[in-house]
Amino acid sequence: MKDTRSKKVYSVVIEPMTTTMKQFFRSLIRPSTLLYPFEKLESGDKKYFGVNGDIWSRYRGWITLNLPACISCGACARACPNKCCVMEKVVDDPDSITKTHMHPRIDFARCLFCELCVQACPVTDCLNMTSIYDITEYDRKDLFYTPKDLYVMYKKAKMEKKFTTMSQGKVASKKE
Amino acid sequence: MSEMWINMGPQHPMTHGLWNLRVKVDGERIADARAEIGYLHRGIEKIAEIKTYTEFIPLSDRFLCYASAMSWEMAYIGAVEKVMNIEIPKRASYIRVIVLELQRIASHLMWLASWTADLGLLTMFLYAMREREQFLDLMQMITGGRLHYVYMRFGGVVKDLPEGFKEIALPVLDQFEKRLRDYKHMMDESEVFILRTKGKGIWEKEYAISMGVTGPNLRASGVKTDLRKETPYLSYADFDFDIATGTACDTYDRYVVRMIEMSESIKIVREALKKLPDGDFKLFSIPRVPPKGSAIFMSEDPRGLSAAYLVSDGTLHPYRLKFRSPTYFNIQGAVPAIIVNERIADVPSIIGSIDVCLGEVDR
Ligand code: SF4
Ligand code: SF4
Repeated sequence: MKDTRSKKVYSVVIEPMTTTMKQFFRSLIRPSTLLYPFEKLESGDKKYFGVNGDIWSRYRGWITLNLPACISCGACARACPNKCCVMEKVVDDPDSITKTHMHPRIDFARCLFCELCVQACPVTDCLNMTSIYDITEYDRKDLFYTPKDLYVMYKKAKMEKKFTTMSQGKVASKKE
Repeated sequence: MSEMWINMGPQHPMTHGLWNLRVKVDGERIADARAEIGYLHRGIEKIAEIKTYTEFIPLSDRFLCYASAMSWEMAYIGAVEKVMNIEIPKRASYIRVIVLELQRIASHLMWLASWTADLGLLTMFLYAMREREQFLDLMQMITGGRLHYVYMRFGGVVKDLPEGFKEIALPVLDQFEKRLRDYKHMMDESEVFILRTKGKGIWEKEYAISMGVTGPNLRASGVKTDLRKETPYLSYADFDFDIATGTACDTYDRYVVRMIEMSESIKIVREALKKLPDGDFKLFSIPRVPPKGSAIFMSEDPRGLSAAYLVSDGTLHPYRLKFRSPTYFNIQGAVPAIIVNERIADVPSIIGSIDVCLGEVDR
């Protein structure tokens, strides 16, 4: 009688308690959650509970456009599943060096982040994806990025070394 | 006591999606029940007819089950490959097995989290969600996405496994296997958990078969069936794993079957990583559009038998694409059969145990 009771105390109280206590101390060392707007998940960050490896090198985040490199071929717009990447004429911009001045603009409110446009682009380092994931706006019109806006994003991402998947085409980019 | 109808849903914590379970209660007991679905209908099969074959890949994992996107990608791509009549390279099919099994674990963990939250075991909910995060991290490492992967292509996968993936994945699997044992022990020793699951929601074997129930639910009713073993697609024939079955046909058995399936999936991933052959990860010479013809591809989804039926007329767009989703049949088989004569407080746990995903029911 006494034996079964002590067995029960062990299996009902002590063992589950050990499991939960283990988790408790583990989460003190490596927390499972982040205080999101104040702390952000960055590539190469090992502070939080997750796998010990570079999980960001293929991340499909915000899309940027290297405007001077774009050759206005339209392959990205043709590949887009829901036609949120459309060619648009850029007026009065010294960075646009093609004859037609047609470059992609992206409506991020409808973008799937599927990477098909990046894979279709025939120019190296032109349409790139980044590990930026948290750009939000109050108005969905603000998520409508013209080619110039995408180029601003490109310069920003290049400075912060945020590129993940770069377009891998055969054509070398014309201008740095 | 007079009988009355109660609407559980369409917005109710029990539904895990958007559907309406109407139950007729007689006091505490359920006398009858009806399932009303269709709140999430997005016309996916019609959308497929205006998209090209490649354009539909990102949509196939978004519009169907969001908790197991990879297996739906497999169903669609498998059907197209069958019409094209191509054989994918060995390495590609191993990589597919790896990602599909990781997806199965992530999907079952999602189920475990939501189901234990239904039961009120919030500790387990947090643990399961956190473990799932690790598998999403692994998927992010391979595919670049956490929920929607867009990873498979006709003839293989879009990128090879990353450098050093094996060294990173194996410790995660080992650790998870140990913790899974801990968690199972923790739940099994909980008397409340046992009282609320054992003997509840009995799903008779013959009835389940006749209603087209598949997957872990059918295996828990004692039918030893698994497409990965019976008609091995991809390279499943190369791996050594067991089919978990139950005997009691109740909620508890459905839980046990899924727990065992997770550890079997770990075994498959480990073996696949060990045996991963060299070679191409994609077949590069594939036809641009499938020829005229039709094919049906069936695969073992985490929720049951999923199938895609494709009719191609040789143009850029599919002529017809039909999906068979396991949850649709599981709900039909479950309501009202497994909840009649149960108490109303047990309905969330019983319905939760069949792993409902409304995205694929309504399509
Ligand atoms: S990521 Fe996909 S949806 Fe977004 S612009 Fe590129 S092709 Fe279009
Ligand atoms: S595919 Fe690349 S080069 Fe062609 S228009 Fe789009 S961004 Fe420019």
